[in-house]
Amino acid sequence: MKGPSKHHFGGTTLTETMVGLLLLAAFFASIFELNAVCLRYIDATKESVAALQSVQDRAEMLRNLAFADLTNSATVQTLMATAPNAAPFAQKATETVKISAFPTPNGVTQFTRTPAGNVTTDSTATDLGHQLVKIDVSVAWRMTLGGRSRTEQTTTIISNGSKK
Amino acid sequence: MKLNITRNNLGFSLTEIMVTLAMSGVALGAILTSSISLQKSFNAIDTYFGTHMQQIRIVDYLSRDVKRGLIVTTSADLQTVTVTVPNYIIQKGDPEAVANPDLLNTPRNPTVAYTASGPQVNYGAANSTVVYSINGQSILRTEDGNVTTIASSTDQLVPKTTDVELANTECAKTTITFQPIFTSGGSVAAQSGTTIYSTAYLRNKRRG
Repeated sequence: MKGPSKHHFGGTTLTETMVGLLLLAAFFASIFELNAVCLRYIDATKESVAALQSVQDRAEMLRNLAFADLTNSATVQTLMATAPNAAPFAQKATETVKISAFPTPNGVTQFTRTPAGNVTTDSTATDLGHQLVKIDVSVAWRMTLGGRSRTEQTTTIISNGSKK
Repeated sequence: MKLNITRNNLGFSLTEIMVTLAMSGVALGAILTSSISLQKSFNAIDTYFGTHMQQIRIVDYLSRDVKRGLIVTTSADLQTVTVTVPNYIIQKGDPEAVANPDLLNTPRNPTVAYTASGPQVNYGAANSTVVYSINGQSILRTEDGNVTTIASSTDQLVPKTTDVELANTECAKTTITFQPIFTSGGSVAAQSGTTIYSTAYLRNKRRG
């Protein structure tokens, strides 16, 4: 009597193949996304460094002013029309400068520079004194990585006198 | 009695093997290519961050010296910067140290002269000279003959400084670039996209 033939097919089913391919695709998608995040981190780092240099350069520009000019709203507003440096970052950041008497403030003079380069005087201090002023320089921007809001700020004290 | 013959068809045909080999080859090629590309990309990113930090270090060094300097001059190619710095510290051989050895390596007390345009601080006639220069792939800082390598990179790190004379002071404007090793479509990434800008005013220069 002839018995039943036993056929053993060792291949994979279509479902198994599809699942395998899906896992492989997910693995590669993860790796490439990780690489893309690294590249976006570079952009974010460049922005952070540019922001740091931006506030430092603005502080330097303000420090270079004669004290009479530093306490004059029109002079500072005109100065701020020029970007702190030639970096493209200035075209995407909003810059704010606050000036107040130090150590006892009597009001705050505040200027805001938009990414387009328009400068407005938001407030004017009652009195900035004749000896020392505190300068707060900050920039705000929306970072490339994740679109989150970021700020960078520096504060310096400037005295009346020809030597700094 | 007839033997019961079991037919196990476990083998593959030539066509199946050829198709499988072709598909495996394509998949393996994709994996290898991807791995190499990713490795290159991560290497480029690592190098980029490393050089980026060197840019910041150069800016820090140069700004510090310019801010405490009396005079800044740059070469025609803008790649060599010379800063004349007051001797803030009493050093060996200085008259103060000869007169009183205990004063060695202590801060020098400046004299202040009050002029019509404001007080003038004087640290004495002797000054130090600080020179920033490029030597091969290194950025060197030389102070009175003492050489310090402040940055070293194989990706064409180039600092350029312009000294700007103003009516009442002077400033140094610096840009630092490098050539990233990223490539896209066979074209090398632009060096200009890596530029860091910095401005430093001389504190010791008389203002109006």
